[in-house]
Amino acid sequence: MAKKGKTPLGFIGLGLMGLPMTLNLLKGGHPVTVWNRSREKILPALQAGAKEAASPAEVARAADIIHLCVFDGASVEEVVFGPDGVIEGAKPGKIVVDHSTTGPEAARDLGLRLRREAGMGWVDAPVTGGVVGAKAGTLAIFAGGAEADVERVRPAMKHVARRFVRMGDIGAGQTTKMCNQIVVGCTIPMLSEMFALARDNGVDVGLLPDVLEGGFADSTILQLHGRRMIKHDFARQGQAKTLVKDLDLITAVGKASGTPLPITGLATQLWRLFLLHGNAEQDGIAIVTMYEKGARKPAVKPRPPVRVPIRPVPKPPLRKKPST
Amino acid sequence: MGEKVAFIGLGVMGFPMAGHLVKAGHEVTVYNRNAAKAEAWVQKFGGRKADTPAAAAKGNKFVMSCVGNDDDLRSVILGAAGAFAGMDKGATLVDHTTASADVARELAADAEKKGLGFLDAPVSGGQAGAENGVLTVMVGGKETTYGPAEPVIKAYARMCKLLGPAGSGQLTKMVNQICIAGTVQGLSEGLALARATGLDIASVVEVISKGAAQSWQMENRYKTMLESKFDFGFAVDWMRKDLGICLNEARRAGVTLPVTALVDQFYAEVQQMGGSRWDTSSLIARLEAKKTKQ
Repeated sequence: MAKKGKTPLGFIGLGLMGLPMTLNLLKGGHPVTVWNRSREKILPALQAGAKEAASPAEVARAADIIHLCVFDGASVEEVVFGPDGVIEGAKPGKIVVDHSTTGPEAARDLGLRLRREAGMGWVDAPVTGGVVGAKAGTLAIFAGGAEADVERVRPAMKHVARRFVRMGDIGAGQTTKMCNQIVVGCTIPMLSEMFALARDNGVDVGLLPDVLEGGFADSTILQLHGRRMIKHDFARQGQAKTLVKDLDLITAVGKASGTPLPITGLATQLWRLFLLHGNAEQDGIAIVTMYEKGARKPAVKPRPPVRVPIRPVPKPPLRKKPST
Repeated sequence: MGEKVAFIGLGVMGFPMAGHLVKAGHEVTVYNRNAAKAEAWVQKFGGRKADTPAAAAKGNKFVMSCVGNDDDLRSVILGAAGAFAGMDKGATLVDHTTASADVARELAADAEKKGLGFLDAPVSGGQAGAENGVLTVMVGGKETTYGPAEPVIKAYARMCKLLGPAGSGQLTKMVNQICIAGTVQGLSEGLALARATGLDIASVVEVISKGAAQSWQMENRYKTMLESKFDFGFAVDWMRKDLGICLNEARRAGVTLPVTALVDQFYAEVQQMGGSRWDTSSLIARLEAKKTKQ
């Protein structure tokens, strides 16, 4: 139940991450007003005590701090500045907290625009920790924004995150998320390669997460995703296309800052191949199947070679060595 | 027979290309953002210059453009002072900029509405090709528009071909750049190994350039690559612009370009080494052993 004195919050975008985050904010005693493009996704939140809004504008009217967790920069722009967007319910002093991964440039553009047009604050606050962390309330959140805004957002964040760190001004949270995604986006295909090498050389792949635990090759990705990859447990915790979108953003950020990112560049294209095989909506860890025996079959069956009789090449006439 | 032609954009490519039009007997008016360049061009080739793209375009049957990128292109073609505003109905814009296929389609549609012709016609062959008038021109657009334009383009082209509807020229140029990126990296690696193992590289190239490894890059660049001579040719900055276009188009088309993406990042390293203006063959500079102090 909502407790007295708790900041009224809004939440827009109750997807795989947004819904469990909203549930944790409700559990923490905050009144939360919610909106989602497809309505059925908000039902569990309504059951837990959330209030329904008919539009992002209505969320903004009801809440002091409006959280967003949508797909990309274009979707953020749509819910904030589009018809019936947040801006139509805006009031100076209110704050938008954007948990979507949009890249730093979009965060700066959107944040400055909202300040200019409505006097509202902006905190870019992308998250890491996946669906598991969102449900457990143990996410890590990278925040970018004015110090005062970030501090106003902080109290509620203890219900959804284990860590909430201000990384700098608007955009710095997004840049930190890019750093995070470089490692995630390159590690998952790398683990796939590792499993393939082990398997092809007779090592029991199932033993690897345990034996590598605590060593230099250990990682949360190995322990959580790696084990699922080995078991082919592809229950969706995220979508491959989201990761590829992030990698595209990273490449753009690197290009703008003149930072060479060869491994990321190559990994992005490996992911794109995975998408080409019809996996855009799959959990990204399923990329491991691309590295398994028999996974690479030609789309078109090659024809058997045509036997062409080899014609002897006429030899040039021998030139006699001039006798000395 | 001489035509009335305007040329917009007198960079390292446009400057000599517009000159070839004069030499071929056409009546040429030029526009350049930096007016001093236009003045220098008039001094060298005769012809006239104008103060805006619209003024340059006015009264000409053909308007050629060759500028930096999509945004530059929109700025000289669209708007009140842009070329489209000055062109007479029935005139044709031939764009030699390497740009996205999207902007080509956009301009083609806009031209159609205004009763103008449009051809996207990016070129290959570099500065030397432009100066010697032996460029390869890859064209997209309508056949009826292309027919009359071809003889004019031929003033600076050895090869000119219509490849399909609007955007096809740009797509072909992308294919060209993708092939170059992979080829130059392969050549760099081959030469690096040849050098490190003490082979006589001139002999190596003499032999393998008669076989399956032969390429334009090998024949025209191996010597300068070995001499670490890169202060000429097609700049890395421009190559990265082009590869960016390729990678964007591939994303749209759902195609994976692993080597192109990797080489694009290698070029970022070359930029960091100070090679923004170096020729694309400078990929080999990344592979050189670091000189250690004795």
